[in-house]
Amino acid sequence: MSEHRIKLKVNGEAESATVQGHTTLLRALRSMGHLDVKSSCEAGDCGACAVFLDGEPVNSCLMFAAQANGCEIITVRGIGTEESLHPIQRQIVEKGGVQCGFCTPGIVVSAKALLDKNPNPSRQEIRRELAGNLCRCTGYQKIFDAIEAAAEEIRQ
Amino acid sequence: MDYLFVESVDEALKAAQSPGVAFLAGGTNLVPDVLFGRKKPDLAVDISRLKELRFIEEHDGRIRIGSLATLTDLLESDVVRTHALPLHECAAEFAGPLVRNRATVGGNLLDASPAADLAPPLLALDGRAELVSLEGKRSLSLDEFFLDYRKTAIRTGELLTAVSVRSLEKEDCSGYCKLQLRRAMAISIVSVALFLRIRGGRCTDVGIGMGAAAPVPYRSVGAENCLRGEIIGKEEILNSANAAREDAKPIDDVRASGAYRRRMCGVLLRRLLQNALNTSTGNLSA
Amino acid sequence: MSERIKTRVVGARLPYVDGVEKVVGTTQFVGDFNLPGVLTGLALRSPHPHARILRVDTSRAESLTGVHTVLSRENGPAAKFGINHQDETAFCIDKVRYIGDEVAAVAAVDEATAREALELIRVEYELLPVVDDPLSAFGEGVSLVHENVPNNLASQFHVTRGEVDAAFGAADATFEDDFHTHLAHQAYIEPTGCVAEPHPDGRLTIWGCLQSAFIIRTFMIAPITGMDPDHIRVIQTKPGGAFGGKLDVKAALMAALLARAAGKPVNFLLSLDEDLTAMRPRMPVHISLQSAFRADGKLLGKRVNIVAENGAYSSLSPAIMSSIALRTDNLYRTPTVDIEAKLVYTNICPSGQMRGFGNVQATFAWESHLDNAAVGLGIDPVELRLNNYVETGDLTLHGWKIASCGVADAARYAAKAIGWTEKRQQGGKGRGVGLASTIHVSGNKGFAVELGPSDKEPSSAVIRLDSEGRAEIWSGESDLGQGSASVMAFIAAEVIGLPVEDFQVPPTDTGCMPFGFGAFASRITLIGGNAVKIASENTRELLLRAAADVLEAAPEELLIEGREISVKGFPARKTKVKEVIRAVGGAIEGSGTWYAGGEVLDSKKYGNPSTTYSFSTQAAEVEVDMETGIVTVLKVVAGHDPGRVINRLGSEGQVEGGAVQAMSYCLMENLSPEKGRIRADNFHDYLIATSLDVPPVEHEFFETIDPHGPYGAKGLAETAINPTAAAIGNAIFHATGARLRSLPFTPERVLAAIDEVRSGY
Repeated sequence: MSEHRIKLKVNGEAESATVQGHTTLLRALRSMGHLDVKSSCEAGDCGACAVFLDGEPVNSCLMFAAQANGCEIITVRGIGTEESLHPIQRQIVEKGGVQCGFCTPGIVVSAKALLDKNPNPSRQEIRRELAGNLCRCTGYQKIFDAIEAAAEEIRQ
Repeated sequence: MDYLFVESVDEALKAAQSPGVAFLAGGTNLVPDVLFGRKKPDLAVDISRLKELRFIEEHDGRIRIGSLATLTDLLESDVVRTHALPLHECAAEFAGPLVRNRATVGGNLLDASPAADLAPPLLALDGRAELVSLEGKRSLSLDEFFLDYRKTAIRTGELLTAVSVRSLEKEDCSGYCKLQLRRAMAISIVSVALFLRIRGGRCTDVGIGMGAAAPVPYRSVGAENCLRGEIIGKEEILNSANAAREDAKPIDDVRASGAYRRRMCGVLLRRLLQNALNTSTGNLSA
Repeated sequence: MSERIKTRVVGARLPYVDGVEKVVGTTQFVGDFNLPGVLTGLALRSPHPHARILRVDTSRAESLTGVHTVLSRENGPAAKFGINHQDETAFCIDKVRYIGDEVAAVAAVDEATAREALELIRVEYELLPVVDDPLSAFGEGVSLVHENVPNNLASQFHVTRGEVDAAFGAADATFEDDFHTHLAHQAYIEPTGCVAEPHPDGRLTIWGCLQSAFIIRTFMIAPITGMDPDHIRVIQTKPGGAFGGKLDVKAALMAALLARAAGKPVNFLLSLDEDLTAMRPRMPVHISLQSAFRADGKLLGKRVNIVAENGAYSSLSPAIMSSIALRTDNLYRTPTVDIEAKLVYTNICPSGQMRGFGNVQATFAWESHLDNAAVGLGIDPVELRLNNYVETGDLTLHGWKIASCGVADAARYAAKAIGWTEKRQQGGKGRGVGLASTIHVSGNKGFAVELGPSDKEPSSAVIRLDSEGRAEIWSGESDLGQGSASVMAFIAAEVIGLPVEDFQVPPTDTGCMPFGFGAFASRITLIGGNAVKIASENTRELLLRAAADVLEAAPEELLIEGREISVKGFPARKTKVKEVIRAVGGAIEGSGTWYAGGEVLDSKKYGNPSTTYSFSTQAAEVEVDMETGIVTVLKVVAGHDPGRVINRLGSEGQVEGGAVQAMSYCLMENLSPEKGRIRADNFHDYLIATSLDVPPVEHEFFETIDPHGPYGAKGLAETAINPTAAAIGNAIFHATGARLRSLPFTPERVLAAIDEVRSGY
């Protein structure tokens, strides 16, 4: 069983951890205290664990933590916190795009990825970009509404 | 499981000399396989940052795609979209955006699922695989790459470095269809990819790739033979669809029965042929 | 209809009171706990659907370094328990009855050690024949799932009202259909789990994503451990979805037993595959229906025959079967009915409740059947329904008292919004529209009395104003993400007059909060809401009395506005709310209790089980690919009667989410059991709707202002999911002429049904 010391930047802060070869990035992040990254299927099927890795949104359950050595990770709390909500977060609350909240961190990551590369997405483009994030509560409508509203807010 | 990060193909090959070594690229198959105990490699050799294996280039009528090109790379590539459209359409329906950012061309092929999404378009487009080992290089047609259920022609100590496909010309026809139980993040029930070259009113070349219809992805040679050299009309299309059904060796599983899959091979191919010919020549006698 | 009171907050378009914590990821779900010294608890689950246990040897596991305790039949409690029948034990004793049945459990320092310990437990099994088909599971010579239950019949009943045979004899037309619904899961994104912590004084604290902290404490933990219920503190963690699946939670018992045995806190968290295969999914059922009609479309009578699949243990199944058997009879004026129902044990995970509590299955069957009857009678399906619906004031044949009913208005809306009249002319060409209605309870008295502390169904709330004038609402009724906390906050803000943003509703804690049954049977808005309203009135009164002293005026002369209290007509005579509260010591607590209506049914299942009833009618438009069988739902429109909308965004969200869950259930979800083995144990085989699968869902609310509910409100969550599958099935029939009677409507089945129509069967 090999042990690896990894250095990462998480939400702008330098962090390090000792992980085993087979530890997934998801489990490492959560054991490092980043409980805002949620764990569910651990097989890349649900998107709850989505984070930004060097600027790209990925399922953190589909990587070994050791692979992320030297990488920059942004979680939902790196996108916005209670003191300073990102428009995506604020609109999800305003438009009713959150119910139980378990899928929400992953959805915020995917939504941010979309608006970063496409500031004026169509509803269909929003649907496509969220296709890897399962939500069981909302039926997705109000999430789409929220992202449209956030895009408009950001454009202004 | 041990983990080793390598910085060159050569280092990767040297590390892979012992048995029990797995190459780690995107990890979208290997990581959950290890977590759930389906695979137990002694060592994962991390090749995911080998830049030399992540490229998409075109020359001499072929498009070469590095084995570490991600599905997102494929989807965003203008070269692929303009000259290998079925591959682009396949990438568009592959899993979801989060998975596409990490899943690689090589990973999808080497996982060797009968439903491997990339296989049908790569097969239809005359795909070839390039492999390298400490002993040297070799390449083979993708026809010969899928040997049996979850078994490819790759040898221990070999690394899949690239695949290549023909580059389609403007007048070529093509198509792709994935039948699935929901509109994203779903394993194919059946998938079909088509390449069709019509010159002087006659089919001069054709490639039909089939997925999830047999223990391996394959080219439906029977269906191709109904078209090659022919002036394609209603009858030829129906014959080809029939042959596609006959060529199939589908199983029953949670997603569908073999009988349904077999029938869908015919339906999907027929539709792709009708669409391809309607859009190109506009004068199909169908 | 009662009077519609004008409100500022109730019914307004306001966000959830706990939305912000969710979008920044600070909500503490059960998997986010990390108590010092916590052990990892895991279960050893049976790999066989049916087998005798010959030997259990845990010695090697016990001696593994890092293992603190190993429990099994050798040292675990043998007491039987169960919500309806006491047919389960903590650990299997003589037999395993489904793949997933808990044979043993370990608590160890970490997951790797716990998993290794599981591998070291030796169990010898003697395989027994697998009982997997409820239709053939009762009769001579069939293997028994429970030796003391002949014919595997967990329960059965036969109820007749009126002269059914005469009704059928006198009918102008009779119709018959057999339906089957499949094994489907709640598929919440957060897998289930509990954490238990033992205390030096012998008490126990349990946290978990539970729908009812009080039920878990009282009917599961207390009787099995022998502990005084008041020494068991159960604290809800906000569930990441529940939909019925987190009510009967064995993980709570596992965590409790392991923690007490180890003397240390234990996390007992299920992995997704465990949850999908070893929890309590929606009950599969065979429903045979016959109906008798007059030529003008008047319903004369029904015959209902149900064979319901219990799974290995009864859990909530007998009550669910009752629900399936009786509910739809109360949606239409039904003069006579004969109902036979059998609940059959099988070797698969216990059937549990899922949003609808059987009503999804029942509504699918009856509303599809009604469509067939409409065709046979030559009457438009909407007209047929409008001619038979119950109305406000009705007493149904089962004794249900319909205090408010908006189903007809909802139906007229749904039909109009889907474009019914025009689109019904275009059937059979691959596009179609269909419609279905439902009735649902808001609370269920019999259930409450069976499980509760008395023969009443009390719900209580406490509202505590702190020294800043902020409010906390303490209630035993739990928010599962469906927004009930916000319902309570809006009611309280409405009554007391303080700003909504100053109200918080922490999760239920049995250690300090008053009793409430919890979230199921769409009861919280009505029952919990009424309790909160009474508690709010009490709190307001206490606040005004304290303010009266400060302002030297009578309470009736005072006005609460924003965070200030002033004397009416004398705006200069005012004070801050927090000053008033500080003047009385820094806190004000008001409380209130409401007793739910309804009654326990008699031995013939006659009576009014719920305070009142909610209704909805939904319509769907589909497109069917006639060569592949793939169904695309283009649009759903939902007309709802929730009495009165309190949480507007939440109500819309419930309708949109419920309709999508139903669509997903009838088109793509399937646990795919085979001889007792569930094959879809992950989210790429168990498919739920993605963002690319969902249709737009339009909705309109018809506020009938129920006399019993707070501001006239009733439940909504389950009327949102009940009718959609039937609406879609009816639309498929309209689009193709093919009637599907088995769920799910896979492309293959749809195509096979189309083939049959084409070949003239």
